[in-house]
Amino acid sequence: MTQARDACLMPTAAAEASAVPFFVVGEQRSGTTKLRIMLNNHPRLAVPFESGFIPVFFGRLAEYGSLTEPSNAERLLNDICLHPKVDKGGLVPDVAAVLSRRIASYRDLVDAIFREYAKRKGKARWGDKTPAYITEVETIASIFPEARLIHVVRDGRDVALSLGGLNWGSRHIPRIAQDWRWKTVLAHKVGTVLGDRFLEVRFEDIVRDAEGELRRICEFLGEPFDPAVLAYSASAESEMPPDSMQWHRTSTRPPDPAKVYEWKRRMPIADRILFEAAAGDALELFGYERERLAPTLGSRIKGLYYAVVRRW
Amino acid sequence: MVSNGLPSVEPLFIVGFQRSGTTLLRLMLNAHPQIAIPHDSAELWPTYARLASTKYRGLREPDDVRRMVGDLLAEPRIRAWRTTLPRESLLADPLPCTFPEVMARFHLVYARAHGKLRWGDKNTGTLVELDRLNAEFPRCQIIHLVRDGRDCAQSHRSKHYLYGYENVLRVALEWREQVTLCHKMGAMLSPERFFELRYEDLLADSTAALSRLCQFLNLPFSPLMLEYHRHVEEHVPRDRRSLWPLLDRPPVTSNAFKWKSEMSSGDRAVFERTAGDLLRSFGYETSEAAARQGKLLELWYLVHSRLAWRMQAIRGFFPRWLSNRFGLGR
Repeated sequence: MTQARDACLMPTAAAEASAVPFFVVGEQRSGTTKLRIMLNNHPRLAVPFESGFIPVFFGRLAEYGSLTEPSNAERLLNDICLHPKVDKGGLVPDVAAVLSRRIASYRDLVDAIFREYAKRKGKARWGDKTPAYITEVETIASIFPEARLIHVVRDGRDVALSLGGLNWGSRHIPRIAQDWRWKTVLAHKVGTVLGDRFLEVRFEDIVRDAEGELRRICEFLGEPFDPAVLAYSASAESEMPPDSMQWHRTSTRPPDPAKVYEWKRRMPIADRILFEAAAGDALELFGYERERLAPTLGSRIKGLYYAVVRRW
Repeated sequence: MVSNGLPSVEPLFIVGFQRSGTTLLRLMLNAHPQIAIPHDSAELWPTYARLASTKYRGLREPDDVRRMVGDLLAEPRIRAWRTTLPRESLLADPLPCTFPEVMARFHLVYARAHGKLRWGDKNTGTLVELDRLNAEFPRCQIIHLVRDGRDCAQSHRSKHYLYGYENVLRVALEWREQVTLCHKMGAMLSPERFFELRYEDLLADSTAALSRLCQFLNLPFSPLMLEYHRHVEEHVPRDRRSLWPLLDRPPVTSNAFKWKSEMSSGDRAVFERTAGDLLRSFGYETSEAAARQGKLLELWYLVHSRLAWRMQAIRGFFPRWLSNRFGLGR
């Protein structure tokens, strides 16, 4: 804490060196983008648009040979730049600047990419927000053993409602429930083993008490709390790829309490029963309400429909 | 904590999906002169871990501890250890005052009764509870035994081990979920604390596999481990023996990859389509051609798993050979 407080706000070499990276993960539509935008308002933190590439290329490192060889690192970086998420988010506008840093390993390369990004934003410390890393926590932790991980959890029934409102989202309730249960429980368990480098926050708590939760997150990251994280500015939209803004209309606005437990008003009974049947234990694990409704004729028919007819 | 002759030692845990060879590995390790691992504790410890904060009031008072120890002594799973555990040793100073301490004390007293130093617990259910184990015993060592899931499915079917597990789709889904969870949680522990071993490698070259395991456990290798089959009578409850017919002889190498000769192509396809990625990540071969078959069978398994509880009633209507063919038997 004191170290962070002493560090000056501009990215000096010393401040850069002391900065431990952090990763925000979570199931889709769980408020990870909202948290990213809040953290980006912090004078020391820079969190780019989803990176997506880290585990992908970690699994393909053998193709590139030793990265101490500058030509290998360059080849890898060029391929990383072609990754759709990297391309979309404009994470690497200046390949030469990244390569001018000392690169001896994959970790160094990833670090260099993000440090360059942070430097451009005038920030001392980088973080990443890629929801898909929720199933890759162990890969991230093996590349960055000292990294801090933040798992954002949101009531799965609200996640399902939110997905249902997207043209690319699934409406298959049992599958969404299974997927939500699997990913959140996996991240929870792996994170529990990770211990004090892992923090779980509920989206609902961020909405209810943004300052309290953001203070907790800042403390976890070893950063001084700055009220700027609570301020929503129009500039937030400039940090999103323009064609992604339509999926994140509410991310850049102050938290809307009506978005919390929306399922209670908007989700059909049959869907609620099906969701709880598939993921009731996980709802309970994260402290969400269970209705324990008895199956109705409607939920049985819908369940059979999803299981057999809409299978493939 | 060294007192009353009970040294503080780091526990070791054997975890693995059901029918993955954890009982074989337990007997092998138990045959080591320094390791004691009793019969699978199943629901025993997880149940008492939960009860500790409710029924036993957080073990705040010595009376609560005595009550828990007394209840545990009456448990069939503890009696199946077939070892006299003197109450005064279990309650000896310093009195255990948390659930992990009570559990450790039972195992330590068991180990001492057998003249062993290190204690271990083997439980197939804890595969997905590494987070709890790690919290309860922050310095424990964990061995994850992995077996080709298709063999697990075959074994489940031939042993009628658990009701509903003749359903290959169900076993494939659970195998994938539980083994992935365990593998990923284990990856968060240091290599000094988590060890993953394939059952097939244990069978193919037991000496090499057990040597590596002993190195992991910081113990000298003992050839006595290969003599495990001489102790089956005393260490496996008689009424459970039928579940492990091969334990009374040296490792049977043909017990690996049995699915190649015994599994139908449809079942194989269902399994590989469901858990192919995980099979490959553990170095098990899969075939793309096989994974395209068995769609109808998969649909049947799906219906079967949804209706499993009704199947017992239904199977009476079918001739026996037909029930067996479609997994309606028990």
